[in-house]
Amino acid sequence: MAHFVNHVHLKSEDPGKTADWFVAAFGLEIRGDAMREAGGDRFINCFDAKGFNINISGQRVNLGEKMEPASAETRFGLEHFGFDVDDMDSEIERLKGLGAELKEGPIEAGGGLKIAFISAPGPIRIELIQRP
Amino acid sequence: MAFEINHIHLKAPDPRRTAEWYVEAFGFEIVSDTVRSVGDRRLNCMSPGGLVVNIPSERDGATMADGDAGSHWGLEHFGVNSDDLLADIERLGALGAPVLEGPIDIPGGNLVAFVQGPDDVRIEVVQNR
Repeated sequence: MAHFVNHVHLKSEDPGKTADWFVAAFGLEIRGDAMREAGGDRFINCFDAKGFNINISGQRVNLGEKMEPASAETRFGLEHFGFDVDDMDSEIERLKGLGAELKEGPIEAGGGLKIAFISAPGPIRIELIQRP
Repeated sequence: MAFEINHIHLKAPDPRRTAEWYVEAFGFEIVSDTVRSVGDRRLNCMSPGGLVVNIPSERDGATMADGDAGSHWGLEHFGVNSDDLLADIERLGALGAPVLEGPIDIPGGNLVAFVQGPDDVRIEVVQNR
């Protein structure tokens, strides 16, 4: 097997609330929701429309995991992930109605491509992409 | 409407070097390498499963925080499949990505480990079982 990207992983103090937000915001499907014995964390498996896995879990308290703060700002390393949208302006309004904050844009990125960055609860930096 | 993930996005002070690491480490393919009008050098990569991974430098005037390969809230890591986790973490270590945690044998589940990739990216290596 090749080295497929297996999942993206979000950590949340309230994984259920975060997963519900992504269900409402981006139509993710929850396929698993369990407490893990080893970590003592709640672990929720979500999937996008194409079946890509986004895991959302809590702190692994049983392993003494120490959590650093989240950031929705520009940074080196793993900074954000993006979702395709059909209608940028209406999606930004809808997501703001769900509690997201518009960080940047919408930006005309050339060739009819439109992008924007939002901060989802977490905070988590998410790019929205409207293809021509 | 159901949405699809379009890409994941890494930022790197030396994006060519970082992209070449992912080529070597996980078989990514560099699709393009351009300097954009906003001042960043941007490499678009295709990962083996078809997910796009973009790796640019910072844009002009951007304030950049450091990466964080430790446990943290929010967008913490991404996972990459492995057929042989023990061999892969040895190989990744030799490529400069030390093990942060594991290998962890999840009862009834996968064998996993976390490594520190370039630019302090936390990467989970996952051997499905």
